[in-house]
Amino acid sequence: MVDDNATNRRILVAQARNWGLLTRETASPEEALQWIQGGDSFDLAILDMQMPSMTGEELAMAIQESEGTDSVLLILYSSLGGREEARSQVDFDAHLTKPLRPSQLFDTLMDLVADREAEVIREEPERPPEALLAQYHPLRILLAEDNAVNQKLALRLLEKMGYRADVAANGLEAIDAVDRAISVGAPYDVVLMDIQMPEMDGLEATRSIVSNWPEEERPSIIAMTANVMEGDREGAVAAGMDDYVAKPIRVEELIGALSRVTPLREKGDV
Amino acid sequence: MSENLIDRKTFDDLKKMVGEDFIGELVDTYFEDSPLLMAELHKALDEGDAGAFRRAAHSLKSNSASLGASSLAAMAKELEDRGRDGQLEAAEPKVRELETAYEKAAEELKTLL
Repeated sequence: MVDDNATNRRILVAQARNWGLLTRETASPEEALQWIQGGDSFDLAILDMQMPSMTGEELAMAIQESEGTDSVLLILYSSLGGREEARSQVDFDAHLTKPLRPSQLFDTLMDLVADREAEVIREEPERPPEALLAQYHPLRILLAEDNAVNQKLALRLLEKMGYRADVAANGLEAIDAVDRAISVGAPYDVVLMDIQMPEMDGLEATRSIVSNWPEEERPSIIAMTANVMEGDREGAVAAGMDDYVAKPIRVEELIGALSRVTPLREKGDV
Repeated sequence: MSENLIDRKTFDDLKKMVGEDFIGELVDTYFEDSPLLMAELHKALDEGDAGAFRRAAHSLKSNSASLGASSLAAMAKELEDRGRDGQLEAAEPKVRELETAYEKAAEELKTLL
């Protein structure tokens, strides 16, 4: 993160660190360039536009000219809106504007890294990253799970991330809950859908929800499946599921899957 | 030969994930749920209901795996497969095997709390 304004910089850094990102910061674009030219590698660079010695755009161009930095994602952080971007000679991967809401930063980062591979460097976190997810990525969640142990486990993990979820015990209840939530104007952003449930299974419930509601009104559906056979995952995708987590549930997978959910309030934005 | 029925690493990971203050509640739920599921297995056998048999076995498999009771989960998976294939004949002894193993696993879990 490069920003000559110490306060802005420290706020961004603190938020990014809370989410488990390893960050390096400097007020000096020259120093940032030295790191890169010295061989340090980064996945993301957030560059303030207005800096005295070198603008964010100039720094971005210098970074792009350096070797081995083709894959660094470049984010411009500025006070002005589109006007400035239109003049930009650099193709930034994203543009953040001040003042910045944490959820905007989060969503932008998630969109950018969604399809990317990055080396995971494990450090002891100062506090568990999952504790803050719900603050920056609020979601209305429905958990469709009939098994008491799994239900308790999932609810507990969600609680630790700051989420409260509603519960459905089978596919029919899940459909009812989704319909009801939409009709009272408080739709679910995501359904965590167990596949094997009595009365009606998760695949059938998913097909029903997908056929009843347009994409911008219905929840994302994440399959929870103990079956790791390829065919089962294809079946989940074919039914209209957006993602899956394996069971027994691991908290990292749950965090990952929930992080990838686009909240309904943003689905309408193009 | 004394073999742990509960995989320690899985159980410890679970304890870390849900917290020491919650693991007891989760295990209690397992203790409440499992006898009900095993009763469902017997009922399904009596009624020749392969679907109900499969579902109960699936839940037992899932719960046991979550708590690190992997050999129990493997036994339950075998029963689940029989249910899926509609082969309930000669499943009764397998169910009893599972019940015996469950008793031992439950004892072991109590010592871990």
